[in-house]
Parts: sequence; structure tokens; C-alpha cells
Amino acid sequence: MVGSLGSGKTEIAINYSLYCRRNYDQVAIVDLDMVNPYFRTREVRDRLNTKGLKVITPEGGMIYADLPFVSPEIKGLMQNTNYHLILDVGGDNKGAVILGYFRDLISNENYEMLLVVNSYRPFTQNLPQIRQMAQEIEDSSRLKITGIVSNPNLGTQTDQEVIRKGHMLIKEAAVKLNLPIKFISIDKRFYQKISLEDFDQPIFYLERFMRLPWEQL
Amino acid sequence: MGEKILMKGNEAIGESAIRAGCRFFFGYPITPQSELIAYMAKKLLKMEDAAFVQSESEIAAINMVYGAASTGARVMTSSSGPGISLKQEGISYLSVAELPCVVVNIMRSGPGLGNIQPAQGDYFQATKGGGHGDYRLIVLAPSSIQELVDLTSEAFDLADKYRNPVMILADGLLGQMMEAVEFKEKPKVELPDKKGWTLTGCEGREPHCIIPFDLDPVAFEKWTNNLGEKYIKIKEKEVRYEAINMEDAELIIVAYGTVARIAKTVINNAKKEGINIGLIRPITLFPFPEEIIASTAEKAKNFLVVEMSQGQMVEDVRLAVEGKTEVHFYGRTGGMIPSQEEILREVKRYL
Repeated sequence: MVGSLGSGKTEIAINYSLYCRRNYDQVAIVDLDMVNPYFRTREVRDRLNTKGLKVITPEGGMIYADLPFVSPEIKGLMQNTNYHLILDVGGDNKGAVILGYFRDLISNENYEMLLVVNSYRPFTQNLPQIRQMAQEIEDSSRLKITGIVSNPNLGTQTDQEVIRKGHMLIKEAAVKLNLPIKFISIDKRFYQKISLEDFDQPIFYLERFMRLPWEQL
Repeated sequence: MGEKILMKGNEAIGESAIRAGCRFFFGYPITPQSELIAYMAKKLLKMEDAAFVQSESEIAAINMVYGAASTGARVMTSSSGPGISLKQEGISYLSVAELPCVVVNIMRSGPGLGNIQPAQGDYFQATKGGGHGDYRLIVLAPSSIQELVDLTSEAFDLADKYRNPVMILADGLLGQMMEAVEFKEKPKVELPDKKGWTLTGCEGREPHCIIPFDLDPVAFEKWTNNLGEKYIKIKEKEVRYEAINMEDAELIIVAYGTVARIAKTVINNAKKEGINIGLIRPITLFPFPEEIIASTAEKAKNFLVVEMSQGQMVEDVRLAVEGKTEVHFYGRTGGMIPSQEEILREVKRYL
């Protein structure tokens, strides 16, 4: 999962990893976020471990650091073809630089690089911006994006119209970039509450893992 | 614009500053405020008549602010914890030279290098000086991303109105989290003309002079006393706070920023248990909302101050209460955030 800072990669990567775990025995999620200091996969590691998911994060005191730290375990897992590996990459082209380091281990046939797009974020609000974001991430990762995850939302202020309008723009961008939309991610509070005729791509309902301290428990 | 957009706190401050006419930004990255510098770089470098410099140090950045502010331009710098400490000499100079500017502190845990988690331990530094000498900053404490937007814009107006540095004091959580915001058109505010003091080239007029010193003690006493009178005026006119659920409250929580938001959830949940709690949320930390606290204390309520510190704002609450009722304190430090359960447990101790 790649995308602009704050596009929703971490929540989608976590949910997608759990979805994969339902179909495969050996699934690992790798927290490669070197850009964000808060709201990272590592914060919910224990919860994910209990769901049978392997979570690779910086170890020990490094878990709280804002330093570029790459676990030595990652390369081993990449070479192990039995594993389904989901990489939660840091935001923007800066976050994607780390992928270049693994480039030699990623075979062209055996990976998917999904660009998460939220058209309500500052630097992916229109087609030229989304194109630029995609280009910059491809350049710094030395990998090609293979699909788009449409994640249009305004956080707690999201409603059906917000999703519909945002998705239309992202769909248009996908056509221009000649990339398929793999799925639309929508908060699970909208489950069975939105009319499906607005969307011709599969909907992937998200359970939010990153919580703010004042949210209702 | 009117359209909603999903922004991180740090980005929202940057966008709001640019919309308020800030064209000069000087700073040095530090977690958890670096996205603000990154945002300003992305935007200002594409604008005409604008300047962005990632300086060699925080000390350099605050002195660049001094230079830009001397020309009357709207200028901002930002940092966190250790970086704000480095800026203090410059902030003291800006204050005595009466230069308008906005300084953002996205607080991390201290003292020392501390860590990168959110905290509120810089309250004393922000409200009681921080640098040397007799001076005050106007200190604004937002508790949502929309409020970050609104107060950043207001910070520039207040800085110009009083020719005084204004600090935006928010914890790391507010800098990092995302919420939908709207940039509304603001009614035009009447502000004093800067022409009488700015350094813009003196051809055809007497030169202006901006200095942070006067060797003559008689003259410098007069100067600093004038500053004192300005601070009194600010205290009279610029106090802002939010007070909720004050009627028949059994206990009043006083909290700002992130902690105030947690307190609001606690208040709603306590209501379901039949417990009635009020909240006073200071929005300006200087000037501090003493009056509402003093008048509430008259009705002999219990106070509970909650902070992400060992107890700093609680001293100002106690000064305002003047011993008329009990003021209790609960704090978390080290980058820990008080939970809803902890706050409710503390509330119940004092009912």
C-alpha cells in the first residue's frame, strides 16, 4: 500500500491483511512507515497478533522512534514465497523510498502495488495532483503501481454524497492513469446504508483501528 | 472556498497561515510538527513574493522572523519542545521590539529530548515568559483541527493588533491527527497601519529604527512599562474560553487542548450515570480566563484540573480560585494521555 501522507494506507493495510488471513495461513503485515510519528500499525500489534496475523515492526525501544528502521526479518519474508506479505509504506514519495531498497527482491510477476487515494486530502484533490503523486511514488520506489484503492472520506464528517463525489473523481483519475480500481474502501458504519448502484467496483468495509482518546469506547 | 477537506493539524495551520497572508516561513524540522514545515515549503516555494527557508538552526529561524517582521510582513515559525527552547532569546527580542509574528509549538514530551509523544509540559514556558525579561506572549490553545484553522488566522490579526508575538500551543496529537476542516471567508478586521514603524526603505522620510534594547535605564523602564500596559489591555480584551454544562455541575473540570476533548466525552458519559460535571476550557492561556473561574468558585464548586503535565495550568486556576474552594489535579506525563476511565475515576473521588 502506497499513497499520499494521510490517504488511509495503514487502516486499509490492516483490514486487508486480516481479510487475507481468512484465506491464507501465512500472512504478515509490515509497518514500513518512516514518515508518520503517530497512528502506525505498530500501535495495534498485539491486537493483530491475537487474530493470527504476523506483524513486523521496529523492535524494542525503536518502536517509539521516528527513525528510518528496517527489520532484518523483512528480507527473509520476501524470499519466502509461502508468505503473503502486506507492506504498509509511509506517505508520499519520501515514504516510498524504502521500497527501492527491496527492489531486487520483488519479482515483477509477484507483487501488487496499490495506490490509496483520498480525493479530500490536500495534495490529491484533482487529476493533475493524483497523477503527480503516482509518478513521484513510482520514481522513488522503482516499482510500478498496479492498481488504485479508492478511499474517499472526510473522517467522521463522511456521508454518502462525500463518498460518491470523491469516488467519481478517483475513478476518472484511474482511467487517465490506465489503472484498475481494486476496491472502494468505506467505513463499516455505512454497511448496508449506502445505495450500491453508485459504485461498480467492489466495496471493502473498513473497521477503524486507530482511535482517538476521546472517541466513545 | 467553503469546501471541506481532510487535514492533519500541522497542514491545517500551514494552509490557514497562507490564507491569512503569511508569505514568510522559517523553521527547522522536529517531530511532531514537521508536516507544517513540509507544507509551507510545498506551497510558499511556488508563490511569488514569498520566502521559505529551512534554516540551519531554530535560533537562525527566529532571527529570520525578526527580520521579516521588521518589514511588516506576516511571518511564522514553528517547532516543538527543544526547538522552542532554542528560540526563546529571539522571542524575547521580538517581544521588546514589539514585532508581530506567529510562533507555533506542537508540544512533545519533555524535559530534555524527552520523546515524540504528545504532552502539555510547555505551558509555563509559553505563558510565563520562557525567555529572559519581562514580557508576555498571547497564547492560543486550540482543541480541534477546525479551531487550529480559525485560531491561526486570528493569531495573525492579534499579532498585528497588539504588535506582539502570538504563540499557538497545541499538543502533538492535534498536530498529527486528521479532521475535516473548512476555510471560511472571514469578515475584514480593522487593524492598525504598520507604516509608522516598518523598515521598508526610508527614501523621502525619516528612518525608522527597530531595536531590542535601550542603554538608558530611565528610558528603558518607560519602554517596558508601556509593554506592561499593553499586556493589561490584552488581559481586559482578549480572554477566550468555552464553558459547558455549568448549571448545577457537581464538579468543574478545567482542561485545554486534547485533554478538554477527552473531558467532554467523560462529561457526556457521566451524565448517563447521573453525575453532572461542567467544563471550563481556556482557549487563550494568556490572557488566562480568571474571571469565569473566580465567579464559578464563588458558588463553591470543586475543581479538577487535568493536564498532560505534572501540574502547570493548575497554578493559574488556584490563583483565580483564591482558596475559595478546593482545586484538585490529575496529570499524565512522559507522552501518556489521560484516558476517559482515569478522568471519570478522579471525578468520582472528589464528588
